[in-house]
Amino acid sequence: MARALPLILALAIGVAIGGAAAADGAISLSGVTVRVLEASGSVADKHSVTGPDARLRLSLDHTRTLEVKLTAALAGGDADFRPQQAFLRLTARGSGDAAYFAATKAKGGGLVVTAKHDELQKQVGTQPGTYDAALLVGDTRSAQPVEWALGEVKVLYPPQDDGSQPEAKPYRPLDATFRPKPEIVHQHRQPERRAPAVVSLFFSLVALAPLAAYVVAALRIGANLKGFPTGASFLPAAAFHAGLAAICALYLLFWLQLNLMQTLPILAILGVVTAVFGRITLQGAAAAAAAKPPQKQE
Amino acid sequence: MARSSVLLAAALLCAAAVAAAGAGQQQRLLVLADDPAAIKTSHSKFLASLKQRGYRGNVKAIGSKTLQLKEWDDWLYDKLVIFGGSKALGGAVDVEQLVEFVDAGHDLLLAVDSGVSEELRALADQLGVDVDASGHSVIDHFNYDAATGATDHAAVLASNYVQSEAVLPGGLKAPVLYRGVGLSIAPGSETAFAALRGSPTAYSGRTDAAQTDAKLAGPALTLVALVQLRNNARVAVAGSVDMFSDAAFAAEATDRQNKNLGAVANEAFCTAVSKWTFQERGVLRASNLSHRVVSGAHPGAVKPERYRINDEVEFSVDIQECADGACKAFKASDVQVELVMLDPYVRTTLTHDGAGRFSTQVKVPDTYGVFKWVLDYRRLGYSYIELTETVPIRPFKHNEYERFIVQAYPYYASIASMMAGFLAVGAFFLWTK
Repeated sequence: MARALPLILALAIGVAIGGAAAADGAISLSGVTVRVLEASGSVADKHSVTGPDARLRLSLDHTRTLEVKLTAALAGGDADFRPQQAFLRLTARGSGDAAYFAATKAKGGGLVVTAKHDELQKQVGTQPGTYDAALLVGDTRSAQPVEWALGEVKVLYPPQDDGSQPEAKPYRPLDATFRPKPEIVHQHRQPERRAPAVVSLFFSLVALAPLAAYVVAALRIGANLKGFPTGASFLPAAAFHAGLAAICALYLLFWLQLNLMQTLPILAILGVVTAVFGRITLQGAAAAAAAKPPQKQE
Repeated sequence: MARSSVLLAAALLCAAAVAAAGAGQQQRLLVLADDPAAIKTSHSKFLASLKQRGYRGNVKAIGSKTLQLKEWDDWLYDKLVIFGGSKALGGAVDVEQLVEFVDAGHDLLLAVDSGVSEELRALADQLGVDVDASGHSVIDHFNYDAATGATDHAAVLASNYVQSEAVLPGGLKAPVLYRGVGLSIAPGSETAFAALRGSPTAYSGRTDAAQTDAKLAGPALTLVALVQLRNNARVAVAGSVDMFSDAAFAAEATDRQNKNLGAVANEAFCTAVSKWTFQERGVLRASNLSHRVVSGAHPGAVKPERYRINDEVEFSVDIQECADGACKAFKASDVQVELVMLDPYVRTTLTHDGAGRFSTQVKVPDTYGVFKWVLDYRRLGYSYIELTETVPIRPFKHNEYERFIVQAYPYYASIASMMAGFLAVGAFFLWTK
């Protein structure tokens, strides 16, 4: 094949010089009719095209068929000239993808091209929208092929449930792979709304109020610490109450910074100390109460 | 003086050693053709350009009985060019081994024409490119070269080339002269794309018969297909052997009105195709993948073992573009990275600093689990970048939550009040007199 190229070159130049007249015949078209057929075969739309720049406006949905009839002639050629290429081309305006339909012999002479909707979909995928229709007729016997623009064809697909047209899908998945994907921003959960500080401070006071109320009420009905032991039993009593307070303070520390393993030994020591001093103190208190019979309540 | 000359000699020796090392990395190339002697003369310019670019190798007959690509487990060649005709593959080479050659990461340039053997047709098919039926050729009655294709209109002037800076930087100034068979790429192909397509009036068919179907026409008709496999090995399939020939390189285009259009772009196009195929262009290299915590559990931690939810983190990677033997900073504004746990939770575009460093800051999701960074960059003509880095995301530890919030003061107050009350009640009960 490679060696053949110079040969072909020489041959072609020879032919180009020798057979220029033969290859120069112009192709002409006649009787070009464009029809849109319903599924039943009845004609929905019919136009006759006479020139290379027809501006038809056609509509092709999934039930219809576009049909173009034509007769081609070659100047100085055979009477029953049949062009090698007689195509109807539908080019999608958005993507530039094109579907091609070849002509076959019509029954009553001439050529006929039928463009079925499903064939279109097979060639360019789902691409609803406007297509430019063109008729291409060419042959090796002519150096003057014909390209006729027929106008635009609105291609409709079976509507979706809500009546709208399906979206155009990229025909080649590779094209979609090559485009950046839409960005995704993670929706972080919003922190819950908090009450204003004033409200919580107010309720803190409300929570402290019963303590204050209790202390005030107890003092008013005569509570006092006058019976706190003096002398030898002062120390155990003070140690007992200090122990209780220290256990409460330990709880606070546990909450603030200590862990359970640190807290338990300290609690054990404080507990034992408090229990021992508690026993001494309460024994003393019980003995004192027994020694002095209670005053009769009236 | 003597000392300095010794130094100079040593320096020269070093330079020679470096040059030798460079030569040692020369790529081994094998060219297969039906008739090696004929190809050597008809395609001398193309072969010379390969040799000049540092490919060492020779032309062998495709049917040679001693042909082998592989010795035990070692491949004997890095790159392979096949100018395929009708002859069957010879020696130890078969389609399976050629596919294995590509699967091993080697590159293949396959040029066929309409009389292609069944084996090479099967090879193209395995690589995702379908060669049209035997006897068919690409025809364009509107854009043929009148000098070489006036009788059959099968020497077409193709100018519908791929718009890609990686494959054809700067595009082509003239049409490409093409005489050969039509190719097609399945619409579902995820690896192959067309470097050269038919014009809107071209079709594939017989030159001597009326065409009754239009299955392969227009832009869907591929003349030269490029394939980038998932392992980044590259394959070019051209439907024409002639387009690489000296005659085609030297040809001038003539349109159907016999007007001279000037020199065709075959040399530029074929060189660009071979450069792309042999990894001389459009190669991306990613390195230095890194990520760090900007603010969160451990601010400043580089490549931490795991993130905590809601950490602010930075992802960065270096990407270089290598073309014509030199690597330079890659510049693109569409490199994306994802944070994936089964589904992508975050997908964001990286910004680059002009020196090849791509980075972005992301707030990690408030969902915990085993996440990974995924950078999957695929663009037309460029080699693929696929990077993953697993980083689990953990929830807050129990002691990492916010404490002492004002809204909890009532609870603290009630506990303190209960403790104080307990002490007070005890003291009053025991010691009231």
